[in-house]
Amino acid sequence: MLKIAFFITIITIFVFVDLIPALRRRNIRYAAAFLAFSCLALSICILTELGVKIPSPAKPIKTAVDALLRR
Amino acid sequence: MPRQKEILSNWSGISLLGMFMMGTSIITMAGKDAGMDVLLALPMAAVANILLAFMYTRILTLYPGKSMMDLQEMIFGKLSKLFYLLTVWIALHVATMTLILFGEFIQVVSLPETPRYFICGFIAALAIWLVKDGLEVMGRWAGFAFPVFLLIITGVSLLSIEDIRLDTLGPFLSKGLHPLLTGTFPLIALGLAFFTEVFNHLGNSRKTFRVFLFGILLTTFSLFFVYLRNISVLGMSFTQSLYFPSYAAVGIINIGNFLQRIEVAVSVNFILVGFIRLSICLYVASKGISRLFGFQDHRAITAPVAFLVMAFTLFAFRNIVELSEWVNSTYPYYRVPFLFFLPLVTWVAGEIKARKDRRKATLPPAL
Repeated sequence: MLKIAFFITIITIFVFVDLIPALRRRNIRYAAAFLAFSCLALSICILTELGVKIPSPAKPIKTAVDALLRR
Repeated sequence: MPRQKEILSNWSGISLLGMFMMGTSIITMAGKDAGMDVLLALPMAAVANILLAFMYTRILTLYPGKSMMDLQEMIFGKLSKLFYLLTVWIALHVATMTLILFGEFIQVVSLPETPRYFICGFIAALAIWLVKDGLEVMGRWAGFAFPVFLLIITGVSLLSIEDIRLDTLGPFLSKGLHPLLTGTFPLIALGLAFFTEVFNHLGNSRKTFRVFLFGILLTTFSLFFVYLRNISVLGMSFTQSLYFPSYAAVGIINIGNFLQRIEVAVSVNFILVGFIRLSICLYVASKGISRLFGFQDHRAITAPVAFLVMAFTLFAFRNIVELSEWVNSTYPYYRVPFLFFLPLVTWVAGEIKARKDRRKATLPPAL
């Protein structure tokens, strides 16, 4: 739970620094991108906290490299 | 509103490059699997790095002031988005690995009870701040921190003289050329490709190669002395068994029971260089993403990109053992397409385009 709270705190700080000024300038695309990336990061955080195992890209990359180098 | 173009001084460029290249090798001793041959691998890697620097310089000087992404847009049009996507992917990946190493290092050596995400969060927030302040500030900060970093390396190495045993060095090439080659490959800094997004801001574009050259030579000399100190203090087999050999080697220093426990100097050094490495990766990733979405300025997108990197650290590698194993066995090969072939394709296509443009410019105008 502490992990999620920490993520939300950091994101909130940058909401004031980046998102609100972007909305004031009516820069909707920036605001949308900010929200999309932040939501993605937060959902990854929540999933890992809930114990969902997100597959790391490191394993398939290692398999591919090993196959390529015939190790 | 797009800001005024930022200008980097040559020293800032050298400092940024030096700190980026030393980034993680200073603490983990990349290429140590080659055994004693790693000391021969360092100069060999320097030669390879200089050859790569030729290519990157050529990319930057084909159209002075244009970065590699600018060039890709000019040459490939809409297809350039594919190039941006690949660059963003590798920049995010390197940033994630750097941040995990940061978290693991601090957790292992000093704050074992503090969760990794907490350490990563604060470092990432600092990196966001630096990237948002712009390349000029980043360069000035690196220009100030790099001499401090070199001073710490020199001072700590001089203090280790008492513990250095030169009889631990050698034999070299005892297992043939294979360990030398496998040791050289991880030391080739393909991450130099990221600097094709940075060095287009150099004040004097004619000196781009000189900046690359000085950065590479300074890094190679510094790393050589650090590696030599670590091996001669700890011995090769002990060095190979450690994840952070520099920290252990400096921890041994004890001068007259008075000057001891100065391994904190190694931590300071790693924080200085790792922070720059992370910032450069964030800069490249946010620049690539802002180009993908057609934004004018990359600064507004830096924070959410850093949140993504922070989120990736939660599942990419569970601990230093997994990270170290992957970095040693897979990473040196995995990065080749992104950081060598991508610039190579851009360079070749850029040469063809530049030649065509020159020919057009010399032709008399059609009646």
